[in-house]
Amino acid sequence: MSTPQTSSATPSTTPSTTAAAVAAMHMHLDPGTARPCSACKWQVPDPTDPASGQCTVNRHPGGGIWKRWIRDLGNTTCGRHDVGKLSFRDHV
Amino acid sequence: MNDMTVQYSGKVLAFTPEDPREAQIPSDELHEHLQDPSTARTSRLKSRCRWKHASGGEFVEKGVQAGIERMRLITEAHKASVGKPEVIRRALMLSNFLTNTTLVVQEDEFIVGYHAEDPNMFPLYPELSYMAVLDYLKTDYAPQPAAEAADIVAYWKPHSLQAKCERYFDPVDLRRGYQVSTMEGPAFASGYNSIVPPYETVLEDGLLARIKLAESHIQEARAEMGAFPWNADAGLKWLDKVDNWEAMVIACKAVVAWARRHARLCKIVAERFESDPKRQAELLEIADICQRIPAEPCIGLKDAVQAKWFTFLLAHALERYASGYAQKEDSLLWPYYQASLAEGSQQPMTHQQVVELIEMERLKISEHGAGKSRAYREIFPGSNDLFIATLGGTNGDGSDACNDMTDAILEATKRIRTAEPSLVFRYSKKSRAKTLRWVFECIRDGLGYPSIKHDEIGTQQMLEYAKYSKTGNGATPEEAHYWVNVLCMSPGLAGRRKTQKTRSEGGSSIFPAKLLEISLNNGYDWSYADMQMGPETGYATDFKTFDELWEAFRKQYQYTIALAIRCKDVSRSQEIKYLQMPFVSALDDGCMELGIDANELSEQPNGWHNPITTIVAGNSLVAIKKLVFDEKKYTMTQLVDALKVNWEGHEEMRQDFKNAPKWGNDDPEADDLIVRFYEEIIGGEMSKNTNYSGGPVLPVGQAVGLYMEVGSRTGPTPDGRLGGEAADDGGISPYMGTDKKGPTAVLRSVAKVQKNQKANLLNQRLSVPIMRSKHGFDIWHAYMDTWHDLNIDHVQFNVVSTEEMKAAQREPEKHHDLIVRVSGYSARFVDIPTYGQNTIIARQEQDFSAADLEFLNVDL
Amino acid sequence: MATCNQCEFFNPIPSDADDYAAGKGDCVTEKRDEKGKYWLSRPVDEHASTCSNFHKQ
Repeated sequence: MSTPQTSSATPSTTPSTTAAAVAAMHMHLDPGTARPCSACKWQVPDPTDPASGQCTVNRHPGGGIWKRWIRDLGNTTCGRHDVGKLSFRDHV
Repeated sequence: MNDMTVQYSGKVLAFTPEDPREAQIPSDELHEHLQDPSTARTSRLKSRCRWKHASGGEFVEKGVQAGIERMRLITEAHKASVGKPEVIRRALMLSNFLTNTTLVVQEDEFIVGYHAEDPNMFPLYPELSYMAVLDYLKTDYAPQPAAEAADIVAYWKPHSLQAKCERYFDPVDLRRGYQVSTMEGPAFASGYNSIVPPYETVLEDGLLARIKLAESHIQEARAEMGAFPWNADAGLKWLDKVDNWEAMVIACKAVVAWARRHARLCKIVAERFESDPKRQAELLEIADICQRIPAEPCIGLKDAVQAKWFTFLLAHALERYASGYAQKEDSLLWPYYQASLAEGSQQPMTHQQVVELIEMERLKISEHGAGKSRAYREIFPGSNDLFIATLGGTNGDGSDACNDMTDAILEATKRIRTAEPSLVFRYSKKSRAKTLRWVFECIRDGLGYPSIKHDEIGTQQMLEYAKYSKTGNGATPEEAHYWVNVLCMSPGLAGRRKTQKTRSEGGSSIFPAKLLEISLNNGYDWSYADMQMGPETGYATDFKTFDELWEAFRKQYQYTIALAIRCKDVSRSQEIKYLQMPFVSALDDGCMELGIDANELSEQPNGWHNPITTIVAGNSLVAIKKLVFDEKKYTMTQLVDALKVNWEGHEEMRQDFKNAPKWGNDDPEADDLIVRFYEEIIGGEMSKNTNYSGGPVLPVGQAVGLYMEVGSRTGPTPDGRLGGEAADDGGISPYMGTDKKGPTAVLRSVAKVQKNQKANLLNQRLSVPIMRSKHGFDIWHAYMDTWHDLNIDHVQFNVVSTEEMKAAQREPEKHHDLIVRVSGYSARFVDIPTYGQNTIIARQEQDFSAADLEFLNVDL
Repeated sequence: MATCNQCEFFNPIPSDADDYAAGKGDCVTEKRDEKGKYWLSRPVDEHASTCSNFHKQ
């Protein structure tokens, strides 16, 4: 598959090697977080239950979009949180 | 211009375009030059069409919005009817809606009727799934006013089908279903549905006759109940029947009045708003039609198309939501075509006017927005919904069913170029050449349809299912010929009786790729949901033999398929109690005769379920067996470790698994195991389940856009796939780009799967230069005859160049007429997300080698 | 306060119509957007207060 075209659909990451930093990059529960998945541009709603969601930040250079389920949209975050809105073209 | 040639049968075949003018068209914009609307009017209608394509869960066009009127009016009626029998409440809900809803008539249109209060809107269904409507309230296209919409959803939550069904399930099972990763979500949680409406009854009888019939049944029932001596067993049975018949009367009277409201509207527009005398006369003609139709039988084709349209709106959007456009359209309209083209007709038309009328019908469908749940706004990217009409095949006496109405529909389809409705052509060796040529030209123009079904396989299937009829009244040999695709793939009866009325009978999906993934990991989904998704069947790293893995998969599949079918039948049980369809019931001769609602009566079983992503699982099993258990090149631990890191650092290993034998190359090393997989597990285990109608449930291998969604929720797999990549794009289609031995090798692989199947979708992409050359039809025809003789159920085609698709990715605004076959439906390419577009580009473009042409015995 | 039966867009429902009710009428208005013209018909009561589309007869 070819590389996605839109630059807004390429997540930016800051490499870090500490275990805590790596853990913070991954999706984790953080009650009351100021950067919840519900307000992140990489989040799309769950296909069935609007209280949950799907994270689409994991995008392979080859074009694959490997989603992760978000149980609690309001209290989950990760180090790649970003604001904005993607076009339908950038989703699955 | 291309310089492709093949040496065949002593000749050098060149594939220059059959139409020499095409040599002047740049190959990366061919599709933009193919439309040819038959009149200025249909050209105008297309250019201003209010498309409602959904993609990535959202609507592509700006200004598309959910309406509130349907929600408001059914809620009003529901509140006012407390204490009445449920079926009467359903009829009163429909009646209140039809009496009070806003009607729409647009300029230039001839077929009138819309399902929401504005042509940019679509209705919602709070009585079905509360989750689906709650999702809408969070979007930019939520119904307004928002506060009222929220109140309505809150009111319906306890009354909804979803709430009625959920209480019968363990929350753990429900949560697994809601993931849409091992199985499609239960329909009670999405509201998704399908139906085959008895159009024939409306066109032939008219609703006034149905009202009279129901009223006479009520009188007979009352007479029976009032007779001496009273017998409770017999007498009490009449109560529900009387309720059903009364509901039918209420519903049909409301429909007649609603249609006549359209007549009034057209007359008012003609008299008070329209200044063009020609259009005034036309509006008065439409008014006359709506005054008579569907109250009375149709006298000509204009009547028939209008009656059919009203019925479609009622059965698919107003009484209840249903996807689809299931009808044997050519056979249904043929008597009215003949009536209109006959000398001295009461509603005279020419064949070209018929073509124009069908173009207008196709554009009405293209404007028909669906208030589907989020999942279904994701899984048919680039389209409004699934709309599939069926043509061709054979009549009850075995004769060719193709006629001039078939050709008119195909001609209109080719000319107007829309993604919807899709068409299915039932291919028989008896199909006349003239019609086959139209079928080919639609395919060659890259529409992606008609998709082709094997006429005899479908007919025989109807007879097999009839044997399980609980009422002993399944399809007769004559009726078995009158079948259509209920949605994309599965045959079901059409006609006045015995048709499928709810998706609970057959439909929904299961996902073998994800099941294979969790079978490696004790039933646990580590890659998407981070939760237990099925029974604990062990860790693959502990398996000593391939058979242990095979059996672990079997157990995951058994659990999920039983859950999925149970969801459908529990839903059916609640649809019978709370979601009656008095209008549809009034049309079905069985419901009318017996006084039974359409959800409840089952005379012809038609149980099926769609395995989607089977080939990723099959190819993975082949690779594991070869590399882990037979050749022992890798251990299972090495494989599982590589999968957990998405093959990173294991590229050589990934290439070994990627290059293991693959389905679709007529290679016994892959095919033997995969055939066994299809027949023993996918079909064999599924068929052990018995549904509400008393028949087995059989697999209909499918994909729509779910191969993308499920792919994105499935981690790396042992076929060499990376995590999040799309899965295989059709029920029995080779994985994208892996069918490397030519189109006839694909046919030979697919033909090996015969047992325990209902249908299997085969996607093939054919070469543009070959199909558009003077040899194209002969090659395609020979291919189709071979396909038929190999007893293959289905095939559908893309005929589109990579060059054109990539040009469309760069400049989408210049490629609005580029249509592609996704899987089971077609879509506008530029309305599909990039992820999905790339899967179509990746499909193997099949050339025909000399060996292929020899196998097909092409006579050139 | 003006009422619907004073509006140009009010059309009384004929007494032989299936949905006839005393005082009931069709409110028929023309709309236009970038895709073209269309007409809407909504049932109203003749004594209802007028809306923002009111146009005296």
